[in-house]
Amino acid sequence: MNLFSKLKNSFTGTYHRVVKSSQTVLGSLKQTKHPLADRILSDALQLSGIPSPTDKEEARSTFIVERLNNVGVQGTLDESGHLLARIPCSVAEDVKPILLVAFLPSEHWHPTASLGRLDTEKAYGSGLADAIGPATLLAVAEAMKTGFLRCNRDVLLLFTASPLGKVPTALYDRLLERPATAPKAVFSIRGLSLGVLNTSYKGTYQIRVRLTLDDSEEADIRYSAVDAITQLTQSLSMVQWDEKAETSSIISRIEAGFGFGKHPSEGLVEIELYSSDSAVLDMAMKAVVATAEKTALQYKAKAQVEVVSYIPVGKADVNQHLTSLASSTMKDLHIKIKEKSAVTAVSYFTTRNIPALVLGMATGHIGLEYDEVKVETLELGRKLLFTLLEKLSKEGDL
Amino acid sequence: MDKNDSLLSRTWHHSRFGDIARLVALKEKKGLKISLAFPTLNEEATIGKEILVIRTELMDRYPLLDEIVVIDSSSQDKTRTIAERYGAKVYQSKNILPSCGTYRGKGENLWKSLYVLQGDIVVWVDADIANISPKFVYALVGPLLEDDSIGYVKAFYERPMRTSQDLKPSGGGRVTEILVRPLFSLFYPELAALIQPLSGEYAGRRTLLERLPFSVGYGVELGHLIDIYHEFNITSIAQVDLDIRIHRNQTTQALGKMSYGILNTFFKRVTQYGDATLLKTLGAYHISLESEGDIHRLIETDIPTIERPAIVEIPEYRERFPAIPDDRLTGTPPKP
Repeated sequence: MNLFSKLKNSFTGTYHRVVKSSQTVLGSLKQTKHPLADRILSDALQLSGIPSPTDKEEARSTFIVERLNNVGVQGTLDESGHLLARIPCSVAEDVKPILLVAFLPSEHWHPTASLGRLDTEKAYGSGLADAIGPATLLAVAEAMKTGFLRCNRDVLLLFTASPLGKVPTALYDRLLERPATAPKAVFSIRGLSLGVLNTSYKGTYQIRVRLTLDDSEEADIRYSAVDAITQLTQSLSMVQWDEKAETSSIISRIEAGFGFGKHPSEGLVEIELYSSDSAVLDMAMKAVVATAEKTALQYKAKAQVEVVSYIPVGKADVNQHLTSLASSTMKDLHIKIKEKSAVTAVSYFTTRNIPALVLGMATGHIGLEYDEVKVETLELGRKLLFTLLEKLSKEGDL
Repeated sequence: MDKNDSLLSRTWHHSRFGDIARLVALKEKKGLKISLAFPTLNEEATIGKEILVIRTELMDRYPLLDEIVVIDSSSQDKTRTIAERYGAKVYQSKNILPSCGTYRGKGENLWKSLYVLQGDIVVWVDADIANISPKFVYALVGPLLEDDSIGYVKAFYERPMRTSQDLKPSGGGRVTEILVRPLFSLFYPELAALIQPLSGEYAGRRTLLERLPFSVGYGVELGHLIDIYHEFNITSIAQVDLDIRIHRNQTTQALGKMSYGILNTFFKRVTQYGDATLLKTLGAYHISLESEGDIHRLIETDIPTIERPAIVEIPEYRERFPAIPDDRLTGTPPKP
């Protein structure tokens, strides 16, 4: 058999396998009332049981890659664990794709509480809400490959290994640099908050301060790290960052004292800053760093100040058309709209003049022990996303 | 290879059967129907997820299963409502074959399920699995689809102890290691190669299952193994590694009662097959002790040791599933 025949046979075999697989899946989509919503829930329940956060989220990525392969979609994993897959369907060249982003990690995973359960109305599980985003992207892949969802634009599915509150800047920059991956619009798919429409994007800094007091024999040991950290947090709590009180600071974590198993000379505090004004946000960040260093000086302590994460203030005006499209679609689907300001990694795209919206797939709540997801609302979220994708793909210009 | 090791040559990891599309093709080629049944009693915490996950993957996405059925022992919680909500056919055990009466027990549900299920291959999965995934079903079906000489496939897995906060490694399978494996070592060394002889997940061909008597209570799995060993040959049994199974763990007291039921079935079988002779009647109750300070009391519990006959002997069943001539039996190995 010559090379051409081998290639021909190989191509024919692959084609038949893909067609058969697609036919099987397409046929089955007609069998149940809400097949894709069921699949989102099923995949989310299975994903949420996989340990996280882990280095590069390899186990969760493996689950996603297997699912994508089954519907004939090839993903590419980068060195940081981000997984990107393209579903081609453009009818013309040079049509920018739509980017769907979901986050693989979950800070809420628990060895037993994440094993998930269902009753007739709700699904429960720690970290379940986090798993709905990636599970939804899998449903999009399946629906597009089987023709259930028809788009005239390519769709990029991005499963990031970065946590929800962290911008994978290098990855986003890489996408924007290449014409083939620079998106026309971005949706960040979240588990809960169906109906929430983000009318503005706040920026945020997360700052971690470690204070180490001198505990040598020569040192004057009158104070402990608890005193220093109390002083620092009190100083910050009294600050009004701007006239309209649109900038705020939160002490999100304190670890100091015997209760946390810390030596009296060591302590840690994490501060989060939120603002709708970039300049004020940057000024506040610098002020926090300076206050931490000054406090350390007062207590003759060493300060180690680290900006753990940063999300820029988004440009909401870039989203005007997308927001109006989402709003009208929600109204058509009788989804109750709540307008809210958001803090999201995809606001980064709006700073580069690319519209980016956060879409919630269901309603429910994130609890201390487990999340609750209202099962019926998943179908509504699924319809919202699919309708938006179909509408957007028909538009020449967003 | 030592004869006692023969089962190990039919021991596989679930990943061997991970290509579900291939299994579907095999099923279609052989013209088989496959049924999954969950025996339940108050399983509202886990049944919904089990049905949803299995249905979406193995019925909707890949048509490997033809039906998912719940056989319920009159649960007092929402087991039946939840099971129906997520797409299972639900039967109350007491309403199946009413002329045969009803007993309470997992074995009773399995036996009656054979009457309502349509499949040529039947898969039974316990309804208390917290980490359910499709492999719990396709990996049990795989060997039956691949090899016509295999008639019965058991699951095995690591069984961590589940606490409210964490999972502790192993500790499961206590009755197996303390009771069943020593008994098998003494009487049926070839069966001692079964890694989890009491696992609640197994699949079999109808042609084999319909010829087995069923203990209605704890002894059902052990009874099957000894009967298959004697009536069909060890070569018809295979086992598949499903990695890990997380479920509620039983108290030592509950395991004691389970062991009583298993021993009862065991003694019945060894005497029936002439492998041992009992010189006295066995005690009618499981006896445990309860203490309050210095006062100790004996607690006698009646553990059901009733056996259902091979369902093929029930006329209603025979009417619904007419006998297949021996030369058309696929996959039922001949008697040794």
